[in-house]
Amino acid sequence: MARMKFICDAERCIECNGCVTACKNEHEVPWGVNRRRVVTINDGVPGERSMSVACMHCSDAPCMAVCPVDCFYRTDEGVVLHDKDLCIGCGYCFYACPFGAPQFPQAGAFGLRGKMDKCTFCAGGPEKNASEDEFRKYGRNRLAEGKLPLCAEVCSTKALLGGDADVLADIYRQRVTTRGKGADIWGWSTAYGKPDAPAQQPEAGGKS
Amino acid sequence: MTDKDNLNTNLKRRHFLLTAGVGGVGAAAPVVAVRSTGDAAPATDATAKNETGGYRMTEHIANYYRTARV
Repeated sequence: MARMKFICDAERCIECNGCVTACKNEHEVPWGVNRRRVVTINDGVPGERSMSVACMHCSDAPCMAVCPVDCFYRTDEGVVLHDKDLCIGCGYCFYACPFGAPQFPQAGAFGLRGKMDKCTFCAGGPEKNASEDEFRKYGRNRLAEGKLPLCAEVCSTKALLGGDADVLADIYRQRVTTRGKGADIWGWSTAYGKPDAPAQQPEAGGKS
Repeated sequence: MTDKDNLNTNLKRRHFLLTAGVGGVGAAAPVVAVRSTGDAAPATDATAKNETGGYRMTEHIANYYRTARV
């Protein structure tokens, strides 16, 4: 049985937020909830990296471990899902998750915290596949349609990969062995220069 | 009535019981089969979501993997 995983190639991510937008639109995620977001470290500094982050569907998921009502379950493909009918909105999973994946709609009065919402790997929920209830609670079930998560499919640079972990590992391994790493990567000296070959300076006396 | 007649009578009753027993088992067999089928039905329903709605290699997904290798 294939095991579903996301992997984000930080060398390719250009922080376009296309994955974030596609996810919100596909699942009609309400305001204030972001199932996916792009995190940038060392922003503006040479060597900055961006990475698209959502639920990583952990093999030993801490959210499952701490949930007091045991509303989480794992599908045969390794996708971690939850039952919104059981969720009490306590927020334990939010504190336990190292990726900040669980989200809580806060549109209610007095800071009411609604049912938890998170990335479903476009696999829906416990309801009948492609049913109206499933869409309303969890969004589209693209896996049932024979497709992969939309965030990965729309990624213009193919930085965000989603699907069978074995296939993704092969793809990523092939990329790393082809392009090298760090300053060996194509385009690095153009963008940032190299210590032994600094970027070409504009000629003196040129147009200012 | 002699003892021999009693013996024949007893044997006839045994044949009757034997026939009824075999017939009863035969009649009960379809019922058991139907009940077994009935028990198996929910299991099929429970796995139906995974069989029809889980990840499977489609042309769409194969095309995605192919383009991701670029």
